[in-house]
Amino acid sequence: MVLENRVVEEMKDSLQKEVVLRTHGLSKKFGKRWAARDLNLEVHRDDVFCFLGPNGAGKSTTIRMILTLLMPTAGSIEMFGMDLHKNRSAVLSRVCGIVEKPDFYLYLSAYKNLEILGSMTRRIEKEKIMETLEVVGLKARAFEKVKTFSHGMKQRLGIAQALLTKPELIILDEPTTGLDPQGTKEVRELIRRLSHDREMTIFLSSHLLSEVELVATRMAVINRGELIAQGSVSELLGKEATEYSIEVLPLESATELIAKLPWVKVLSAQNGKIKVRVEPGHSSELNRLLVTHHIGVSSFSPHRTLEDFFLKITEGTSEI
Amino acid sequence: MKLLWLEIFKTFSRWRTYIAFGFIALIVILTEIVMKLSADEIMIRMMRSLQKDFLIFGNLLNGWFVTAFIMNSLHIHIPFLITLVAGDIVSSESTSGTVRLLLIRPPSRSKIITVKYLTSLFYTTAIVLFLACMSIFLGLALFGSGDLIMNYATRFRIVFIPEAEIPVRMLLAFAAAIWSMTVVASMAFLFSTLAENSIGPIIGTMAVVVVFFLLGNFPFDFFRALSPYLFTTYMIFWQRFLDDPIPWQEIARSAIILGLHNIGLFLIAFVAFNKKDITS
Amino acid sequence: MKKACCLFLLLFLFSPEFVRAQEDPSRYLDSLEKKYSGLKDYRVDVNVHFDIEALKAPNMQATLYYKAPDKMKVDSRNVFFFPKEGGYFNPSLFKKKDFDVRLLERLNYEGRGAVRLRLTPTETNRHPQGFVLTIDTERNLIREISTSPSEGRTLRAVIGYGEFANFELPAHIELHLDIPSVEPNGMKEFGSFGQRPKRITGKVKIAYSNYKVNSGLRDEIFNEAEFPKLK
Repeated sequence: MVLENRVVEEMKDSLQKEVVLRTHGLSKKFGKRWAARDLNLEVHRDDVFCFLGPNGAGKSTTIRMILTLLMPTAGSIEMFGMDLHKNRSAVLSRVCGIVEKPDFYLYLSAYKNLEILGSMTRRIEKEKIMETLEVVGLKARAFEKVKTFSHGMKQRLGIAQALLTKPELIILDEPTTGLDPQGTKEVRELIRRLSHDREMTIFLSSHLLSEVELVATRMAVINRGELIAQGSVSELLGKEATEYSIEVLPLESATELIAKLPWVKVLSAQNGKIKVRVEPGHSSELNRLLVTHHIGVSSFSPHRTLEDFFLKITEGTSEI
Repeated sequence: MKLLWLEIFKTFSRWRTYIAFGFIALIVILTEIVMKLSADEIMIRMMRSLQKDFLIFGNLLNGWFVTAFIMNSLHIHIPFLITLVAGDIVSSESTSGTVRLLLIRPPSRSKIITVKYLTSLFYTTAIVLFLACMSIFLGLALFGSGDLIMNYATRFRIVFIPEAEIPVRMLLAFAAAIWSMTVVASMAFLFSTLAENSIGPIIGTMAVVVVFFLLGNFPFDFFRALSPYLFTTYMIFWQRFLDDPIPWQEIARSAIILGLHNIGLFLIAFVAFNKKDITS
Repeated sequence: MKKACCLFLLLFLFSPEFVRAQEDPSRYLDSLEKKYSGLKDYRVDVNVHFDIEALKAPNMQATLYYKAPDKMKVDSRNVFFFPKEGGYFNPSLFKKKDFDVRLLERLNYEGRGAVRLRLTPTETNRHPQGFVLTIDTERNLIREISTSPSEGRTLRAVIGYGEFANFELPAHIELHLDIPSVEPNGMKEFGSFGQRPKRITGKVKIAYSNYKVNSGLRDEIFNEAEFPKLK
């Protein structure tokens, strides 16, 4: 039994490492401008992969190329080990996406929209459609025309159409755009559920870094059409200097001690708290030094954000 | 087939699709009522020259004559009704944003564009058939049946078609009319593929049809030389089925030329759609 | 000398030319009227064949009813075109009181003696048309009727007879037409405009069969209106 469990765990690990989406040198030129250049992305199975970048960086262009809405100027896209353009039908039957805001046939009901869109992939039973609408909280409005729906309801319907055909990979372009905080929270929860409960791989782009930080397992950062970072969140953030907030007593002694250390920078010191930025790998040493110099440490909290990382690398102030 | 059925369902779920049918019904009903009220005047006008030398007996103003009369205005109002749908069928997906949902589905762009094209042809067939049924059934009910006199005034001849031959000839004439109108549908479809909104394709197609008709009918040598190159010249070839003898060669030639137009227009739309970057 | 002059005068007076010169050509109409005085009515099946470039029509069939002096009706299941002039036999049409008659010539028509008369309508004649008749004087039969050219139209009917119920009635009439073109107030077609108007020329061949003569046709059957008349 123990041996079997171990084998299962190893198989799970192996599966988790499977690359579901891979791009090789993916590029797109509009006129003379490169919107995306030489992108080499890797999305692993069960990842919640976040694609970050400033406005106009090339995120939507990349997602549109992956979803065959744009023709790449160069490069290739592979999904589930198959070339996308050579096996388009087979690949896209396992993928679903929402690009920008989801738009539907406003003159048709929610049910009819799902029936039409879903049946373009495979035969969908009526019960399945109603079930999916229930998951996104739209069952009561199933037979009303979509033109009567609010933006949030359309967003939920968009997610419903993405879930309907049980895709293995869901691609979301700015899924929380235009949503209120409650809507944003629901989308975030849904993304978590899709990843954990339904074992779907999620590839999403977003501007809301705080949200991304809460859901993403791996991410890539693009700026001016070029990939500038890719990896797991912890890996990427771990390479950066981390800010800490330390409650110390006496404050002056601690400040004096820390100021002498080359791998620490004091950011502020007041009200019994000192904020410092510590180079990677030195946080435990700092803690030990404070203790050995008889400085009381009542809390030592990291203050490391994705936003900081993002701003640094997109402004070119960090070397990765 | 399923894709085709879905596309047809989408098209016929929109109320604007039924504008054409309502308009046709109105035109047919009004025309036939007016003709019923003005029956004597119409026949006198039409047979004035013949009446000087012939006594004319029988039901000349019958349902078949009324149908042929209505068909003669087919190339005026039907093209506009066709462009309402064919000019909108692709561009409306861009306007509404549904193109983003549509093109990320497994069916290839080739299949999607083909299915949309077939849907616009289906719609074209439906409205011409609707015109046919309304004209014939209402006409026969109001005016009865009889032989058909076709007065080809501009060719200065009269053709008399016996009642027994009329149903088959009418069937062929309407089939030819459908074929003619498919060229308008193809043109509107092409413009719809190239545009991001529907107004441009609708107006553009109507502009081309109207201008070509006018150019082909100006009474000057230059335009007469031009007219064989205009597709509108061949669009009224359905009238030849109501001629005696039926000029099969001329009909075949017109049908082939219109068919080549259809193929060419569709191929351009096909290639353009497959290469199109969806940025909206 | 005196005797010679008298003889000469007698010879002249009795010469065929002088006799002929004194004949009243309207007597031929009298003979016709007398020949058909017993014809009260007839009913006949008519088959019309059009051999006209500008009028493409199949053979048309109808039943024609005639009652003296001038009632005529056509009964057809389908549309039926029938030449107005010269299309049917109406012996009452050529009454001498309605026309000024002039002898144009004497001729030989198909081996028989014939006369050609010009009939000009008198003021009392409600029928405004003038005619030229070719009459077989041996059988008292009208062999040809031509209308006087008016408004650019000329028609010539050539009549062949058969014996039906003791009357010599037309078995076939061949009508030769040369009339102005169809006026452009019919359905327009695109593409072929600016053509010069063509005249309608050709023949209409009418065959008559199955005569029923003097069957006592009632006036009521002629009351039904046919095509709306030109106002």
